[in-house]
Amino acid sequence: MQLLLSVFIMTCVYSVLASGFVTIYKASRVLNFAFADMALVVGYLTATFIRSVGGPVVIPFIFSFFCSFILGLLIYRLLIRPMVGESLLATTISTVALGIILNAVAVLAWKADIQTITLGWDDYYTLPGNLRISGTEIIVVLFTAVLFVLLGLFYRFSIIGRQMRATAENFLLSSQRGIDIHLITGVAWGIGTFVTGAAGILVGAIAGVSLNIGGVIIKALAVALVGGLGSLRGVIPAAFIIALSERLVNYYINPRLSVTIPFVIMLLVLLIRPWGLCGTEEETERV
Amino acid sequence: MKRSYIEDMVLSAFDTPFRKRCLAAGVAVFILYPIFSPPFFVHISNLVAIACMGAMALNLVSGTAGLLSLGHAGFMCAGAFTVGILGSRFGLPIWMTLPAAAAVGALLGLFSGLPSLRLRGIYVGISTLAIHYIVYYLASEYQFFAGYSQGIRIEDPSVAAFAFSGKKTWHFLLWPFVWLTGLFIANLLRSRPGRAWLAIRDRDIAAKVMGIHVGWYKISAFVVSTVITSVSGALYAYYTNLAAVEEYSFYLTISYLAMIIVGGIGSILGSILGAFLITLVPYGLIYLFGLLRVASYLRDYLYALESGLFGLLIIMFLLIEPLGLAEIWRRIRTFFELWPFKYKPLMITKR
Repeated sequence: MQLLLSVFIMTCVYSVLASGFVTIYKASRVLNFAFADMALVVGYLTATFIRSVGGPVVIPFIFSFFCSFILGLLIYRLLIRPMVGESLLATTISTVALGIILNAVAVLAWKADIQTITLGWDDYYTLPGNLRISGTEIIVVLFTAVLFVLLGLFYRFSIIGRQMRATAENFLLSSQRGIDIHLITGVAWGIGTFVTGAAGILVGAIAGVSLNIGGVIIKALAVALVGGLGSLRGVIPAAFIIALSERLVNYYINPRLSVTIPFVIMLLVLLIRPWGLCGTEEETERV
Repeated sequence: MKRSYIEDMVLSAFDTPFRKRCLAAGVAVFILYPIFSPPFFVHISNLVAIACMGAMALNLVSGTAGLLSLGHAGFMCAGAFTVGILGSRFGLPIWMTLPAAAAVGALLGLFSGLPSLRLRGIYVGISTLAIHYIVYYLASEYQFFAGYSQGIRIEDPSVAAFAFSGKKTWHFLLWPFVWLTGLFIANLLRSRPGRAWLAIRDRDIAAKVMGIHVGWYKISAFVVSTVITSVSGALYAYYTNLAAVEEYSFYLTISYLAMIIVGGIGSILGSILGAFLITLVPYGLIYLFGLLRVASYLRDYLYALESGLFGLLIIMFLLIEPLGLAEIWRRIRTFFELWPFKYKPLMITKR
């Protein structure tokens, strides 16, 4: 049962990561291979803020959320917008290169130490059924729930959210209807970066921020694909499937295989049902 | 003057006297370079040769056929480990292990090509990425369980009691391989498969309508590319006497992709230029840092700086000259061809 609980926690982390991925894909049709390094940079930034600002934990978080939003806007303006008409290969490589640069910045600025992020609630609770859960993990679950509810409401009911959905569906038509697609796409990148950074903070809270979290984070790519690259709804079940299979393989078969299993599942999904759990079939054709 | 169909079809790259003189100069450089330069430079030239082979293969599948392939390091790893296992464990000689590495590469290419029949664009790339991780896992499991903590040690290969052990010997072995690969790919590109790949890259539905067997050509693009990549990985393993799984990480794939993007997508010249530039960047940086006597604190983080500059270089090329160094070369050449006229001819070959 403890296994299921850790699966549940990992599901939450993976779904936050993958939703950042999906947001950016919906907005710009670009696979953001830099998300692992974005999360790294924001995680380190948060750790620095916590140490230098102090006080209640919420304040450094607000700072780092703000910074990651600005970072997303900057990345969109400087990198993605000039590359609008280029081929798919070129844009993918540019995000990979961005990831390399962010990684180098993280190493140069924070000397690649392991830093911890404390969420300020360090107690351990024992739930009925002999499960142990820590305060940090409770915060993770609550944060994921709140984030998804907020994102869903934002996309459904707010004006910018509606405009974002329109831009994602048909770029040309929405620009002709008067939507400022540059602003909207920039905001989408900002939200995507903010969510990815938040996931980086969560991972840092559970495991500590270091250069190794890239290996954990890269599985979010598999999660986003299994759930369907264009849909936020598919992210949670996909995250659950991947986290469950990973933990089961880790426990029963072979710890090293557990790193590869998300990719095997991703390959199987690509071969059998390429548009994922909740994507639409047109997504795969609309390259 | 061409007097028969055969003469028309022959790949004539050295027809004018100027080109013949360039060929002679090239052969002279090839023969004299290892004799007159220090061993470290010969080592670098060998690394560049292997990078050229891999870059040409990747350019074939991703540049000419348009199928994004992110599994390049996995294919090289497969070739290297085939050679390591067969050469070291079973003691087979090189003229058996290289074809075996090619066969393993072909199988992997067949398997990697299958998702491309159904998917397009970024999804093909992701499926090849998954294959890369699977190959990496299998290789690391073998390395772990067979007890080679640092990689399989491979002896220098020998053919009929002649051992390829020095850097100079490898120089004379590798560059002819590069030349043969370039010739093979150039020939493929100007014949039916090459035209089919170009058609598939531009609009595969239209190609299918026109009667091109899209599935066959997609898989054959992958198979040809992975065979060449496997062989280059096998040669690399033989050259460095080591097959270690840590060298074939995703970062290697990224550097090969950088080679073809910086060099020029879709052209052989682009692959070679890109391979030269990207392989020489780390060494150039070290030399530059030594020259400028940079602050010692920066020198500790040389690797991070180097990779940061590497990423920056890729992005600058993508933003400023997306068609790469080959395009810059074409522009220079056109400028001198047209001089004193300024404007490009009406028929602009944009590739």
